[in-house]
Amino acid sequence: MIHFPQREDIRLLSPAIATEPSETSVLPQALDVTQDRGDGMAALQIAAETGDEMAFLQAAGEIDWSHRPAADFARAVRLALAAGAHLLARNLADQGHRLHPHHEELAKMARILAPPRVVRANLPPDPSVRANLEWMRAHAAEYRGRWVALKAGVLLTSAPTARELKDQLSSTDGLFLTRVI
Amino acid sequence: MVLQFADGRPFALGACPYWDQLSPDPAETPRIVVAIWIGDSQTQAVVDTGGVYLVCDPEIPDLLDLDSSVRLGVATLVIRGHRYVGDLHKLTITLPAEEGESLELEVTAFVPSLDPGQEWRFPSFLGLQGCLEFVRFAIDPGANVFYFGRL
Repeated sequence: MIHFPQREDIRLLSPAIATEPSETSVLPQALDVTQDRGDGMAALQIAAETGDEMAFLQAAGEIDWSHRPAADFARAVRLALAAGAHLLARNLADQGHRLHPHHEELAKMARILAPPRVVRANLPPDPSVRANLEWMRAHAAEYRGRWVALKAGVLLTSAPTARELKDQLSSTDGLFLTRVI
Repeated sequence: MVLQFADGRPFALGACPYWDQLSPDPAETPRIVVAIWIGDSQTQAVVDTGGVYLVCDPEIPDLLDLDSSVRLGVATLVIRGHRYVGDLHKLTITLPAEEGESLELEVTAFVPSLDPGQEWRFPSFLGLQGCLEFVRFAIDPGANVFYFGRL
């Protein structure tokens, strides 16, 4: 038996939770499952608002996505990302893009959420890795909390923020840049 | 060839050293901290097989020019108990090999957008889904070597 939050539960949502990221502009002030159009989208919205990934997956699994409009897919992907259902977001973006190949937002979603891929595998080795590692091992304690720029194991500069670090460098190309934790 | 299956097929094509600590504190929990290239700059990231995406330090966009045309807002990630909202990007990264072949990957990256007063006290992370999920990898904790290769 799937449990979705009831009306009373939703009204208890704090303002901070009820104004979360991507759906902020389209969410009603108080969500109500009785306002569901019967298409399951309200259940997705509620699960996303409550951050309940399992409820989100269950609700999405009860929807027949084979004939859904592009807008529903795009909204479901946004909600899935807000709910933390990242694999489902990828699958919905992919399915939506295949069903609606000319929908720009779905195309973008499918592209960004697509599985990673190897672009090239025959690149030459990089000897700078160990030199930078050795510098970090020897000197990290002296620069805790700061950003550092190294080149082949040699410190070029450091700064409290990344922006200030960049301002001190003519170029960041080829440099090792990190915040020292 | 760095590592092989019994029949001679390659398991991993590249190997690089890794840090096993983020800080010099000897009591710190061991990590697998590897160097990666993001575009033309190198940085470090912790391998996090329980995580998703390449999670970037929120200040990374101040250093690197990220292509906003392949950006998707807004996603939410819970990182070590803290809830972060941010954008998703498609980025090309390279796992640099000290021995063997370096590996260039196209991955999904999460860049947190911090609220006023919100702090970031973490490294960048190489998660599984969206990042390392199709990379074959192994570690030698005796020699602090991270092996990697394509499937």
